Amino acid sequence: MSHLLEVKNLQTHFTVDRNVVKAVDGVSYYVDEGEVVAVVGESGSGKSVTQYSGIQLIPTPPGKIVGGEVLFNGKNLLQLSGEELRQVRGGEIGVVFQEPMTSLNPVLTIGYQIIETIILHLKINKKDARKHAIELLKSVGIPDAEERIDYYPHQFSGGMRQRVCIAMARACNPKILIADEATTALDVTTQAQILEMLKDIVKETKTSIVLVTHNLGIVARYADRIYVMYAGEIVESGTTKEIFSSPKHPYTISLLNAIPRLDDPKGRQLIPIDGIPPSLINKRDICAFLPRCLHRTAACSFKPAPKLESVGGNHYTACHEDIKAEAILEVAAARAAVENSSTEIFHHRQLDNENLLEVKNLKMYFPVTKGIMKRKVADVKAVDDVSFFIKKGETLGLVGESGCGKTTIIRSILRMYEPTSGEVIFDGQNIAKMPKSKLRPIRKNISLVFQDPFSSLDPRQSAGSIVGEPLIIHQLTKTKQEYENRVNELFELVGLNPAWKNRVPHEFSGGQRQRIGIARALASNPSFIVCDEAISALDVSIQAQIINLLEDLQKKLGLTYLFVAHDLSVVRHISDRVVVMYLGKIVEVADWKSLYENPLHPYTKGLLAAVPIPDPFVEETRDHVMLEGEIPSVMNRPNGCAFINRCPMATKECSEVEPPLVETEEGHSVACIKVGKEVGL
Amino acid sequence: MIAFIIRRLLQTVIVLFMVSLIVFSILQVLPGDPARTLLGPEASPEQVEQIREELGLNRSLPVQYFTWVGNAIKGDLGKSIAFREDVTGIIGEHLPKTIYISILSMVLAIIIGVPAGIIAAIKRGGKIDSLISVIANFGMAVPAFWLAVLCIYLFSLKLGWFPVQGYTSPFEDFWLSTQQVIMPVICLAFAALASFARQTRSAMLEVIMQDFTRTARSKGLKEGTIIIKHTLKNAIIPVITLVGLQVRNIVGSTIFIEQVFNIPGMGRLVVQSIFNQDFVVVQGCVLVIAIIVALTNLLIDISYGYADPRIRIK
Repeated sequence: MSHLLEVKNLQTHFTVDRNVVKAVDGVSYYVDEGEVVAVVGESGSGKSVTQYSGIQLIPTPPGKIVGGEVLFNGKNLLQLSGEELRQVRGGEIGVVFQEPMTSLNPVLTIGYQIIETIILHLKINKKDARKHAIELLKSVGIPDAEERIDYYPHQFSGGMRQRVCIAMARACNPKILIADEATTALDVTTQAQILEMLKDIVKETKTSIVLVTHNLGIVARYADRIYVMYAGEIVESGTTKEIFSSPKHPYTISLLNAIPRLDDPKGRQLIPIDGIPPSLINKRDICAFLPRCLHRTAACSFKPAPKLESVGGNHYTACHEDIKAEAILEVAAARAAVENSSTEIFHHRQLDNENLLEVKNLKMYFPVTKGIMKRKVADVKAVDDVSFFIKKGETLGLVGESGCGKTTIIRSILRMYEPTSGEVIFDGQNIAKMPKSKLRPIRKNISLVFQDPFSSLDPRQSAGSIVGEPLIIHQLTKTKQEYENRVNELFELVGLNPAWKNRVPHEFSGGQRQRIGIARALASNPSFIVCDEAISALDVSIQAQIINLLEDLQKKLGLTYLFVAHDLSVVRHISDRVVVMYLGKIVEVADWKSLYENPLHPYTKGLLAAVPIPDPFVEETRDHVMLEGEIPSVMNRPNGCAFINRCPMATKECSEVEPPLVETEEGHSVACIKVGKEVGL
Repeated sequence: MIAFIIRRLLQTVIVLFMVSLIVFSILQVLPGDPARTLLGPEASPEQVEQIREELGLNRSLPVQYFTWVGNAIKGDLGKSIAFREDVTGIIGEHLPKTIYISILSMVLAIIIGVPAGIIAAIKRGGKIDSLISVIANFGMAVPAFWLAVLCIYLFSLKLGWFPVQGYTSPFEDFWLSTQQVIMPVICLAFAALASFARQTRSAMLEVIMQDFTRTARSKGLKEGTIIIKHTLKNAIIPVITLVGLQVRNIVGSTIFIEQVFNIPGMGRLVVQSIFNQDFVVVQGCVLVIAIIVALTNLLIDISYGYADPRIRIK
């Protein structure tokens, strides 16, 4: 049987500084009509390059396809002329890219960009093309498509732009749609909406979809078959259920052990994959996963790289060892035993009853100006009357879609913004209006770990001086020797070798850089650390390392965390209590268990439903109730309950009063009139 | 957009006010008494005093300033000391010549520099790219007046292709006029051309690396269409900024070029008047040049809105 797309032994190399990087090293896979195929891997695994090689979207030079065949409908794409290949690109194979914010041309209207493709491939006149484009925009859920077709990309939100990209990619009814991390940059609710839409497209049009992603949850929910990639090779392939129920490759097994799930038992210790992915420069013919493998044997080091072999039916794996499914459990059990004692402490940790931080009626308004004189016409209520507390030694998770005010809260607590009103009581002192000079000595007790380990470290500063800088600012060390000792100590604390002090950030990997960021945050010996999306820029195998590090440090140093993140599974894993925000207000607060197991607010329910669980069997039984629409702009906050236009429970009553945050049971508060009535308040 | 233009207009008015203050104070800080300069060393103190009275020099500074500004708005920039004529008239005679060669230079710089930059970017790393980059670097490094002297030596004296110097209005004798302006225009344009080529090249390279260029490619568009419709429209935005800077540079360079090629334009007028200690003329010239530069920059800011919808539509 011939496949719609069949790739045989594809090899794509990049020449970087005279070294050959084997980005794609002998990859073979196929895609059939109407299938959703997932290509899973971490950054640098070659999953995107594999996809782009087929339609020759890789930059040449430095890239070069050195071998293999890409058969599409029987034609080898690698041998087509430029003209023929252009007809395939956009005509028969459409691509949706990762970054909706930068993937559309900012100076052309979206209509122009879609119509251009239609005219090119379908050879119809402008008028009909425009009609078709409007139809497409409607089909991807763009409201007022007739009017908005003449809008520019910046007039749309990220989710809307991604819809436009999808409309563009499927404009000419392609046979295959490649979605390259197409939802990674989006909020979890928007992600769910977009993926559901893609699923419907497959159902209606028999289009095949190649989902390129690192997110195993998405894969479990949507994919029919999976290819797992590591270091430019496919290490395992099979149906989604086969892969999740009996993974055979140690890498796949380790990945599943490393990610937190929404339905985890709380005590579960994540098992990180030690080390970092190998450099693909001058790759040797040996198992690429060997140094990080928990199942390696002495023999593995002498054998050439393993080839994919069938382990039953269509399930293939590339491993010398025959690893049974029970291996997952064995490994997990072995690791858990080691960590058990500390896990116990973590869960029965006595929390002080004392509040370390208390935020009372915090408001952060920004003026909206208009006209020539820039007079103030209104306020943007980015954070509107928010109160919460964090106990000593506790981790408070803060979640919500982008634009809900998470970052603004952090910045106003840290006085990077001057709060409009309200109190921020840190360790008994109100720091909201404190003069800067008095605030400075308090600052050393509060630290911040940033999201992006690549841009949050000065590229010209050595790692040692980055970590040591707070010591100098706060004059915490007296002698040079004392300073050096403390820096060494900090390096060891976060699992870095102190001998690397003189290296600059680009000599470290992403995970190591985040460790430097954490060491810097720890330098002044703070009691409170704000983690602003601290792990979301990291690869899945590295995320677990950092989560475990943060948990260990909390145990060792008695730290208090405010953990801001959009990944609800991670927040669930790490938090004691969780705050859910919507449009500048808190809609629900509870301890992690009540919040995740018994969410009350319809928004919380919607958020949780949108998170895919990396288990196809669980996914089958879940209701996929989608939250409709998008978070409105803070400028157009609806009257009454802000969530009203997306809420399945909303009635007229909800538009009349703003629901107050009321406690339904001890420690569980919710801001919803309906829920309040149900529990009889 | 309208509010943006109005705000920008107000800013221009403020700039012009500050320029007028500086120009006015030239007369005050420079040594020597204008009345004495006007009359020469032979004049009696009574005569000097009389002229001072006539020129209003013995009134208070604010009064003098406002009288001057008031007259300037009406189009009266005072009387030249050396030529004994209205400054407005003198400028009216010299300005068109400078504007003519400046506009020609700007057009030349853009129509050669921008395409050269585009070609260099497309052929990045190739021979054409290297050649364009070398010429561009040369153009930025060589001073215009030196280039002018070199051109005269080679094309006028050795080869005899063009007249050495002089200026004729294109309305009088188009052929002669064109022959005369070719060298000054090329010399004026060269540095600007080099900047345009470099700026366009780097802007194009940056845009070519952007995600949306890849998106355009993934749609199966032809390379030419991608460059013209997608890349260039984005790359042109920083080039527009450069037009504003180059207006200033070209107008500034006319001072040397007009001197070398003996073109009776504003540049030469300014130099002459400085030597003549004819500060009323200098004042007028500086004011007029400043207004022209300020207004072109205003136009450029407005044109951003047309090039970039992110500014036009909020």
